[in-house]
Amino acid sequence: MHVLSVTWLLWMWLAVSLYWLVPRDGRGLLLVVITAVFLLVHDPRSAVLLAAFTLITHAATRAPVVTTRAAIAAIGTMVAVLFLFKVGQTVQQDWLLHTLVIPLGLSYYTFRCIHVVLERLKGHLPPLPLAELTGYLFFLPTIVVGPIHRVDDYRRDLVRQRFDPALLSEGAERIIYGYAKITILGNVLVESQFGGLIATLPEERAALILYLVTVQTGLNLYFQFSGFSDIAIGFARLLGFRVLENFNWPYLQSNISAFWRCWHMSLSQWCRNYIFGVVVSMTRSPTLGVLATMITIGLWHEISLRFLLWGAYHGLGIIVWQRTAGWGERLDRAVPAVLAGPLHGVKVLLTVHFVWFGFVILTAETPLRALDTFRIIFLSWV
Amino acid sequence: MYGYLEQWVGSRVGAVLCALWFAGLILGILMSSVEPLADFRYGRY
Repeated sequence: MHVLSVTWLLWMWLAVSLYWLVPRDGRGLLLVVITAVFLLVHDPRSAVLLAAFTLITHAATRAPVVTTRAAIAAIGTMVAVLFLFKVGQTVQQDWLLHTLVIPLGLSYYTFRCIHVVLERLKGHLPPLPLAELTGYLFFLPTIVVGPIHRVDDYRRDLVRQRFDPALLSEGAERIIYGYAKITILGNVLVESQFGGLIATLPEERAALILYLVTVQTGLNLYFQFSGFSDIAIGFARLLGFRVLENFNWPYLQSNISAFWRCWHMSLSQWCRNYIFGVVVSMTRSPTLGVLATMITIGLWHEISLRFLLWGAYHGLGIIVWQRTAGWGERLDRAVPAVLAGPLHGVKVLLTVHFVWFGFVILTAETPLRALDTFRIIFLSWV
Repeated sequence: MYGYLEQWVGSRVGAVLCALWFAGLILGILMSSVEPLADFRYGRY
């Protein structure tokens, strides 16, 4: 099932209409039931796994004080399951067998469970009743494509909840924008029209073709993924919940560090909180922290060489930017005010191209093919 | 969207423009909602 399908629209319609029809006390349970039925219909493995993860998380966090041993056991079990599915997916792809599709939403809800365990371990969260934890984890709007929303936001909205026409209108607007991004901007303008334009170029202009395909991939990926996130955020608002934003104009940022604060924000914030913080406190090395964080972000998508390299590429990009940020600041102060705007534009262009060229690592069949693409784009002009 | 339009062109014209904007968007979505051409597997994580 695709988020664009009529099936998903029907699930949204069913959930929202029933949700506001039942009395307030029954809404949480109703949403859990709808989400469970949705998963049982579309991916029963995921329903079983999510139920198991909910019980594991609850067992590890129900005591007034969570022990490190219980937290490590719960996190280790859930990460092992995620790891096995991700490795299985990669191995099957590499052997050109039937692609193993990982259980629907597994990557998202594993990280949500770990978030709950770690927040409880740190003492930032009181013990959650099983019903509340289940309500947070079985939250239909964010099950399929995220964002990895936070439990404290969920609990806040659960308490405040009331029928709010303004929030309903915001939600509907957001869903329409999400669908428009995916279909009109992504599928039609970027994929069909821009793709058609690229197809008309003569073969001897290979460098230009490869460059434009790279731009196309970058734009399409943004429209698709941010469109999915808009639909999820809008759907949550229809139910009276404000979940974490996932994108904030990432392609208009002037450095790679700022880009990662605006791209897939729910995942990058998660990794900043739980990977960067831990690695830096253990090693006292922000450089290692950045590398570990970016590699985790890469491997979260897929455990494979290409995603490992993609994560490392961004990690190195951030490290180089951090080491040279002082030069940039001196340059900012040195240029006349009239040139500040164009200089900012150049920085934005450099950042966005760094990101788009990173996608070559993901779309090329092998790392060597990716190098070949870079060679053609950068060196065939000389 | 209506809030912005109301500030610039008043409530009545704003409401009409807002309705047209969303009707246009929905029409555009319906006209271009064939099978998605791009699949970056974000529906499968």
